[in-house]
Amino acid sequence: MASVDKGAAPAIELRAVTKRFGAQTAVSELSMKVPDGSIFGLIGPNGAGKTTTFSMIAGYLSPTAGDVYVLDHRPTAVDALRGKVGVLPQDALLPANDRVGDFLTYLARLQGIDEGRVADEVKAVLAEVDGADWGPRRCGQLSHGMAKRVGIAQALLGQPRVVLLDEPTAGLDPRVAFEIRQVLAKRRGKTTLVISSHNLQELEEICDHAAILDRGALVLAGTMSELTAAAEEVRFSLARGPVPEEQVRAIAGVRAVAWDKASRELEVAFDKAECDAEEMIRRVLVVLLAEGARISGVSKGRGLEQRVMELT
Amino acid sequence: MPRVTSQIGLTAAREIRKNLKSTKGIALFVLFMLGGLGSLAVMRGFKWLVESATRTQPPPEVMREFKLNALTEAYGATTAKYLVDCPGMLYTQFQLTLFFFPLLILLVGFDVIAGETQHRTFRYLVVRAPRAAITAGKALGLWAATSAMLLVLFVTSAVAALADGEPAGAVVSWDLRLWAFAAVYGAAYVGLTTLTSSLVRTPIIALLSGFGLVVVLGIARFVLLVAKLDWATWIFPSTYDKWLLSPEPKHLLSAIAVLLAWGGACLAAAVEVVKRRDV
Repeated sequence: MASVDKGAAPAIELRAVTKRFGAQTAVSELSMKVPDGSIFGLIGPNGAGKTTTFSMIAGYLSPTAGDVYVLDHRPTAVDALRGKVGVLPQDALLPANDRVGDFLTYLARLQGIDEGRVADEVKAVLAEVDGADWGPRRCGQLSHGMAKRVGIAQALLGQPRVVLLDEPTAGLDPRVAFEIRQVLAKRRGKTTLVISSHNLQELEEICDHAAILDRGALVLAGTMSELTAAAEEVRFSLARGPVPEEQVRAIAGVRAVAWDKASRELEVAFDKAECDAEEMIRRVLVVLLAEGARISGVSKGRGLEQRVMELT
Repeated sequence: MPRVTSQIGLTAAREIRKNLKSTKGIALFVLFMLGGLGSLAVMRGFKWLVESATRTQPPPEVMREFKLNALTEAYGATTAKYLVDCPGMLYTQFQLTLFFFPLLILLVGFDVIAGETQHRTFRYLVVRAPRAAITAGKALGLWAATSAMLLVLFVTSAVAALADGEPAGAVVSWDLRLWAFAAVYGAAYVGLTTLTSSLVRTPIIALLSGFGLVVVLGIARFVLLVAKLDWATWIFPSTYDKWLLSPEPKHLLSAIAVLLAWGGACLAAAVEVVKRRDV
């Protein structure tokens, strides 16, 4: 799997960005960096400022204060960024009377794809979203799920370096949502993806970095491991039987042990300088098995959903 | 071809296809044609009534004298002598066009920007091309589509004039000229429609605002004329219809320049509005 080059310049950078709509502040002094080649999640409850932040990165809205840079250019530098940025906006309708193929062809030409490659490019992106035979259909006749997939297809035209996706799998059935996640995951390392979504499980699955926003401000940002403390905590689900808390507490590197009776989860916080999560899992399993504990599940970290609930 | 020119061209071509193929565009074109052909039918009917009442066809030289006197009253001697050879049907069609063409442009184009803003389809475009190019392309497409509709009407009028016995050379020459003058006249209203559409977020408000603006411009000009403030009417595009029909190159070229400048200024304002607004 391609990994993110931590030394490279960020693909997207926000510096003290503020956006006000009249008296209301939607985003306040937001600073964050999106590493080049990463799959970056924008997380937060309703009203957190995700879509406003997303729209500023896409160039739809201008910040009231602060600076936004995409590939070292302001988002409004369309000429410099043409073909390098693809966007799936959340609430933009496709033009009802246009045929899917005609609309994608127009967009492909508008962004400067060579005339000789346009038809192939349109076919390729439609095939990627499982819509290869949708070209002749009118956009107004598409179901919600089909329209969403066409929206994703247009965002992928021309293999852009940065793709911004606002709620890419909202309203899609589980099978199609899974396939879309595979399409996005394939681009890891080659394309910088920014995904704004309420589906935390999905974000935890495919993102390697994320930012948690709340009430217009940044709460926490970092790698998914950092956000979920996956490098510092491991959890064991135990069925009815012995729970050797003291013996686990005595393991080298363990900082704290907590037993949640209600969920029957043993939470083990450890010093990541002492060992990694996999080694700690091994050490704890040895103790649990020796003490006769009945193990029904093992996981790293706290879970993104739980983390977001704690922080927002 | 420079990138921005091809983007304007692409957007214009899409706008033309949209306007000529959409249900709204086709319906408005049919109504426009019916209106135009209806007026021709009324004129022909009137001529038949006169001939029936007098039981004779007036001699051509009498008709020409009558026409020259009427044109002199409206335009002055120089332009009258120039216009007297214009087939009556085409001249009447042109005058009606000056009234109805701005309304056609408004009805076809009121959602040229507002429609994209309301449904946020602009968001697919503004990451691919400068907003100025998109706006200019849409305005150009609107002008081309409505001018094409107008051409069909003028060609039909030419056929009617030929059927009425008008000389072919005069019909073809005057028909093309009058169509071109009307298209240039329409440029001013294409700019105005695009500006109105860019200022509001919903198409229905754009339609009502545009219609209101056309009415206000008409009333304002009328009031100024009644008040004998003719000098103030030069800011209105509808003042230049007489110069479009003038045989003097300086008047014709001035009219063309002013009308195109009017449309261009409105388009430039629309571009600024679109550039600055959050989409």
